[in-house]
Amino acid sequence: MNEGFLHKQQERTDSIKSKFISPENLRELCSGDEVLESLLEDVFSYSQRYVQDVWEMDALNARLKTGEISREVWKEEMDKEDLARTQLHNALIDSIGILSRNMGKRDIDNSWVKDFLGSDGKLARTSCGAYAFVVLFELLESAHEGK
Amino acid sequence: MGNPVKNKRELILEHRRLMIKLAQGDKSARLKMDEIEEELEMSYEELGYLAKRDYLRGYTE
Repeated sequence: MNEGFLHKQQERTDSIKSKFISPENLRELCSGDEVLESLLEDVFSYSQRYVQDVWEMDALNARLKTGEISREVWKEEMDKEDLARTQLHNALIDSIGILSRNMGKRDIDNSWVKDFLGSDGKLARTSCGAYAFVVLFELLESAHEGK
Repeated sequence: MGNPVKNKRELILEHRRLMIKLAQGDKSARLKMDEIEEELEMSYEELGYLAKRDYLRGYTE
């Protein structure tokens, strides 16, 4: 894999990250309030689990592509996984909404949530899914730096 | 002797599971990740690239 690919991927990642509040900034805004800190941990936890589910689904699709599993087995697994992943995605979206509302109730800046809204004014599934990625890789960067 | 493509993919998936553990603060995951990186002859950055690419399919504009 050459440097060009890695650089391009980093640019793409940075571009997605720049669309949302950084998890670190959210942590600062919630700092000192036990309820907000706990709600933020929910966002982080659902984010990590959601990213893992997406990767597991990707691996399942790859098994189908390479013929390791039949379409029937793939469908059976997918149906099981799909429901769990959808519920997890919903939980992630809810956790972002609950955090935002509770910040608003405490007069803490929650304008960041606007970046998550779709044209219908609701939290957009794709934005929340992308934010899960931002959260995971920021936490990972911190953990990796502390190697 | 197993299927090398399957083995590689399983190792990549295991590396990703360990990434989640590391992000959750489990530092012991890093050692196992190093072993997988060595076995795959791929760097942490390269595996991170693949992980991001695979995740972002469907999430970009």
